[in-house]
Amino acid sequence: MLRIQDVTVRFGPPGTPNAIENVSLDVPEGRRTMIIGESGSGKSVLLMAILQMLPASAAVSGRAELDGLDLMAAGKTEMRRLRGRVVSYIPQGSGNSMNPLLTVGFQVGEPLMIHRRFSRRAAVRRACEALRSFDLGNEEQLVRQYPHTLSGGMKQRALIAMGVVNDAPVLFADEPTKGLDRARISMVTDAFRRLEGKTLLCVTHDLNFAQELADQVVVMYASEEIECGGAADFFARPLHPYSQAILRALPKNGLHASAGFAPPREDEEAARGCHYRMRCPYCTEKCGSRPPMFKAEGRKVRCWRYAPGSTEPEKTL
Amino acid sequence: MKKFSFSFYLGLAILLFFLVMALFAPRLSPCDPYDFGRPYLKPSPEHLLGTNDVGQDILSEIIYGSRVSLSIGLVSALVVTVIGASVGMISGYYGGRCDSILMKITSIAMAIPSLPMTIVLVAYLDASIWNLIIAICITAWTSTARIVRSRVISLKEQPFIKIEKTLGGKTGYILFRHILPNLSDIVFTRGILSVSSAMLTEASLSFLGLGVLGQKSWGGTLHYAYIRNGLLNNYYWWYLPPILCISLSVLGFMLVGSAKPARKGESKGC
Repeated sequence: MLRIQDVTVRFGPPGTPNAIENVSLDVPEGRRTMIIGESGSGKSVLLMAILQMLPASAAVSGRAELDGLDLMAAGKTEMRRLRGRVVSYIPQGSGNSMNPLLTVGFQVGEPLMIHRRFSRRAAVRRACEALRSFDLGNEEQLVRQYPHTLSGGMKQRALIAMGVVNDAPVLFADEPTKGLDRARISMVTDAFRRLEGKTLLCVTHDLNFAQELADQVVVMYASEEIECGGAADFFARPLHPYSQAILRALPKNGLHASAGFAPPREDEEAARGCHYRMRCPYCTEKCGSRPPMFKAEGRKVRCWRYAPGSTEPEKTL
Repeated sequence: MKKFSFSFYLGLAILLFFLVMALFAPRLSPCDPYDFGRPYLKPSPEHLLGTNDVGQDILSEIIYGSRVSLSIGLVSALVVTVIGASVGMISGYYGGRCDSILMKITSIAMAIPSLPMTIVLVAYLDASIWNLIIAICITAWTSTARIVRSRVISLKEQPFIKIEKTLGGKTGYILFRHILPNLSDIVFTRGILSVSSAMLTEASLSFLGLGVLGQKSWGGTLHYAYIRNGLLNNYYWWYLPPILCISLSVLGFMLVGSAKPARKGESKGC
């Protein structure tokens, strides 16, 4: 179990808005947790903060406990040993995610060379096996090729192979479906399905991808976690007005665009109270103060409508 | 598949010619360049390029001279490139205070006029081959450092370098395995250009009489041709060959250095 507690990140001097604010969530072991939310909501920053990969200028606080070990308090050397061995990071396959001058096999096998002192040959052999488990086709040839010969979907699957080659129990993935079409996304989805028993914390924009894979869903909005719960329940009946808005906007749910599905306002007035209230169709006076996380229907939701004793919210979806 | 241009191969041929000349100098030269004989002889079958003011065979001098010129050029270039690339990589990768200190040192070294500085150093140190190399290197590494630094700064923001950190790669590993190969083209080019500039500096110093004592070099031959009136009397067989050799070898290095090899991991541009 990875227990993330009160993670707050701020870029810039005190007084500037937090990039993420008091995010707390439990990532159950061996399950897939998807963080969804729009660009700028702080999803990737959360992953980077846990991996201690943010620039030194960022003010980071909070804890991320993995089997009693606080990842965010680990020293530099210790953290370097943990990365790629205990917590693996799967980046987006777009752009220069692989070194253009090194072969695919070398790079996929690299965690083994770094952490387990594998020889280059042995590492490439293992990389080849790892690639084979994701059905890339012609792997013996592929390991000798350079990244520019791979398509986006192949590169993404190669990066997933790179993430799992060292058998790290916890995987972080950052928008692994970005820039891919539906057919490639289903291949990537397939690749993730094969990772049985791994704890996956994945950031994505792609709600369909999230629905297909997730055991647990976390919704982030304007630096905050606003809803967290089981995936099946979430997609059947989202609780937070924002979650409802983004799910209604999906093509299969009728493509309903609404005012609620708009970027958050970043002015000072919006920062007080509930961050979503400027867009929220259910905004009341109460929303002027910041809602805590309430428990509702076995899930957590940051909205006053689910405060104990408030009237039963109307069903929307 | 054609990887290099014609000019690259031309440069390579020129360099090979001089390399063979330097390596096999004792076998190739017709006489011992330090033997005295009849001075100021014109070119003849016996002395193809005549003799100098003390009767030494000029052709043998030129052949032996390639050793000093090439070795000073290559060794200085190696030192300059290693220092420049290391300073640039460390400075660019670590950034912050380390960067500002290293770049201040670089700026200071850059501000020193290099030829006068080299002359002063050589004048004070003994005129040995190593001191000459030190004098040449002391200011020559700066531009390599600057260029490498700026490339490293842009490289370290590339996703694959960041990903390498998330894999747990150590800094040294990232620098050598991932950053250095991406710098290979500029380091190579700068290295080759440093060879030619070091050779020119050496020739200038030797011409001024500050070269390696007791050893033949092209600049040295030119120096004696000048002070012993070879130029005044138009003994072209004395002053022309060293000039040609210096120019040709520098040209060779330039041609090789400016050729852009197709890197294996790169897709072909149109």
